[in-house]
Amino acid sequence: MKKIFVLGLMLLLVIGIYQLAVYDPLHERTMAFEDRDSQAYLDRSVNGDPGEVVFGKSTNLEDGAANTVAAIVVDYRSFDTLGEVTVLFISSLGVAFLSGGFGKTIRLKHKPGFVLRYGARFVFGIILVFGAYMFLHGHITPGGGFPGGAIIAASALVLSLAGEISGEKMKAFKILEGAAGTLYVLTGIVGLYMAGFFMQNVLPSGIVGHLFSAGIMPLIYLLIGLKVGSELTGILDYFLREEVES
Amino acid sequence: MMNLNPVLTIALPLILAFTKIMYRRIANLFLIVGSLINIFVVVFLKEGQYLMGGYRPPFGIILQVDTYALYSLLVLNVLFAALMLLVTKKAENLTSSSLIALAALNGLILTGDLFNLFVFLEIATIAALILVSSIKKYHQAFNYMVAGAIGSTFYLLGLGLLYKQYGTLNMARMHELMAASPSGSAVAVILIFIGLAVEIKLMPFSSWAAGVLKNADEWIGPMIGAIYGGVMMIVVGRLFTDIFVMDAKVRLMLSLLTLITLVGGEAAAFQSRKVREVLLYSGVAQAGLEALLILNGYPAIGFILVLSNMTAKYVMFLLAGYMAEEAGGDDFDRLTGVFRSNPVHGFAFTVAGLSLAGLPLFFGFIVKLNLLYNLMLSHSYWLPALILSASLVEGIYMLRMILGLWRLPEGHRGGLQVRILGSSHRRKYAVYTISMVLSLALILFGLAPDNALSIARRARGADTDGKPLVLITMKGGIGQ
Amino acid sequence: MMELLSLSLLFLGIYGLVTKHHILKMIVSLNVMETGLNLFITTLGYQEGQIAPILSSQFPSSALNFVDPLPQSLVLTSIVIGVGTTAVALAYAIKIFKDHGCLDLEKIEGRL
Repeated sequence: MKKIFVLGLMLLLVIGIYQLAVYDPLHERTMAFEDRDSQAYLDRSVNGDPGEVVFGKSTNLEDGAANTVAAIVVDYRSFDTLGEVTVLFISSLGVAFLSGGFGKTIRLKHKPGFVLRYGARFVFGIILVFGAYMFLHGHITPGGGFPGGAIIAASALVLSLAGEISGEKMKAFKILEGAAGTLYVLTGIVGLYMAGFFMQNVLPSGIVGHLFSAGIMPLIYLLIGLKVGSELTGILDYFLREEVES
Repeated sequence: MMNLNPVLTIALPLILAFTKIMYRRIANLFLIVGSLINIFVVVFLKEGQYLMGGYRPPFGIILQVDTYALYSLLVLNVLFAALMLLVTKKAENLTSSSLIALAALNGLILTGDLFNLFVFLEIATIAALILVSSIKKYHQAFNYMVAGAIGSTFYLLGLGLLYKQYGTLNMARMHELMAASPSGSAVAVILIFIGLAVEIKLMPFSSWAAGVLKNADEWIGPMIGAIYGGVMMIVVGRLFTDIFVMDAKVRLMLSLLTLITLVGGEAAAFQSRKVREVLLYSGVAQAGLEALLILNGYPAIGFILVLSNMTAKYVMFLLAGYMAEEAGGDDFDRLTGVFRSNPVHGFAFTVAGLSLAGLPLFFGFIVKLNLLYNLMLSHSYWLPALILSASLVEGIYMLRMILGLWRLPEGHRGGLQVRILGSSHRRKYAVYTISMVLSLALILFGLAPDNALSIARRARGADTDGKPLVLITMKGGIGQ
Repeated sequence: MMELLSLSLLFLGIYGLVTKHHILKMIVSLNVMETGLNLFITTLGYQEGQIAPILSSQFPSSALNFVDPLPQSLVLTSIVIGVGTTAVALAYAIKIFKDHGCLDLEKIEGRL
């Protein structure tokens, strides 16, 4: 009875929200795309109009990334991304706190054989390089620090399935995590005291579409990638330890 | 004078939290130094808008420091630092979480961007979850998590709809556009209000609060019950007076929700026989009252009520946590006469309680008197009648509880021999000092309320040229 | 149409959260809800015939007709937040299972 009632309520909410706020066939209440704030991100014209932006030609834009989504995430709204990294950081802290931290060792239920162990080492390098490619190219192609970090964590998962991850390695990951986070905030503060605004791009932005372009963006994506990778690895590690202990 | 950037109140705790992983030994030092530095930064803040990354306001994220944000920040950071000084032992394993919670709460007050607000809301919620898990009631914490997740989903859904309609995320720009064409934004505004209602504990969405706060110790109680509740209410005050434009129907609908909360909260508090339960339900009822005032055009009094209630609840939850810990429970019967052996704590608790209930001589009384006077002037009578009767009920149960805690139990001579915090002298005097200072502040403002009221008026723009900064120094925009 | 579908997904998730009391099922519902929300926000920035907002040698000029990039970057943030929440929720599930020996919230609350 309760379920039917709730289902009916949800249906009502879906139809209500759709009818009242989303369905808008004549675009009376929808702001046209050209008038939205995001048009300025596409044109790179927040602080002044550079004219038409052309791939491989335009130089010294306020934001030199070819990937507009990356430009928003790491430059125009970089402060949100700092918050995002903090969310991951605190949830990894939370998992650590709830599971009681290090101390327990992983004892896998299966015994990793020869193929698994050496195969894992082989694949590990390839996945790692692919993750690094993801976040170093984040400002030009789809990708960026978060997917890159997740891929790095996947490589670490392969290693730990083969029983190759020890407590010392995890400690190194912890230090990497803290250092990357601190450096991210410090880049922001460097911007504040060198250029006047928190997280301002202090490096020249180069030519759109080149690898060395977009100022501090590749640097920040590198830090985000390392941080996300080590955080997700940490979370996985805690869950693995947890499973064995119970 | 120095001119510090408000982003430091967010960035410094974050740096300390990140580096703390590497220096586990001196974690407590990090916590205390971090929260004290934050007070220092807040004191030297100047009003103004601060750009992030050097991008103009509607496009880049801004932080805005106006009178409202400034006083909220001051109260928040002082209360937070005081709490951290008191509970360093318990906070030892949760230093990073506490520092991040502080950063997120500062960010919630400062930010001038609706999506940035969402990010800070999420950080604050997850930090709160981790802090709450230290009382080891995991399924209650899980309920809190589910409620919080649904709340933030509603908030983001409403924000998405607003973005679809107005094409911006900046608060000031949103206000301009909404004032120009408010049609059709009602659904989005209601969704956002429901999302925040989970955090400010309005009635149908507040069942998580009962689970968490019933078992709160001297740390979680003030943190979740007073500080988090207060900051979320400050956010609601910002959004629903400065930013969103609502028509009368929406206002009425949301007001009904707050009225249910006010009545239901007082009723639940009246029935309860446990100290912390009384406090938490009276907190729920007060949240209803505050939201009611904010929605119905009395933001200045609402603001001052938020700050004074935050302080009073802080003192009460703190002492209730200590009492429950020493006596092994918080039933009225078990705690009868506890203040006979702890007169100083008793005094502070009494002052805070009476101020919360709005009795004469205390700050809460002045606030309520002002409120009723203003309401009478504007010829509305149902609201004052309701507020008066709610205050009456609140006064009754608050007095009943306080008298019960002072009264001698039958058959005992010298009162209940429970010493609140008999163990460590240093901590005992710290508790004395902090609860006394805060309750004396409540009395002081109660005797000389003009200053506070004029500040609140300035902060909430009741005078003509005291408009909140967010609306007057709007620079940039698509046309410029 | 996409809007309606993603909204349905969102409220399906909330339906699951309200009616189920097995913790793992609730976590799955939580993820369904978040996915619905993310899809919904992405659709707000999409119109037919527009291209992905990345400059490349194939689409070299900012004068082309790109989709709205802002909802996409908001969704990126919201996905990461969802990952964090799920991790904490799973840690809670393990902890609750250790304390009570079962994952059924109604049983746990009835027993206490």
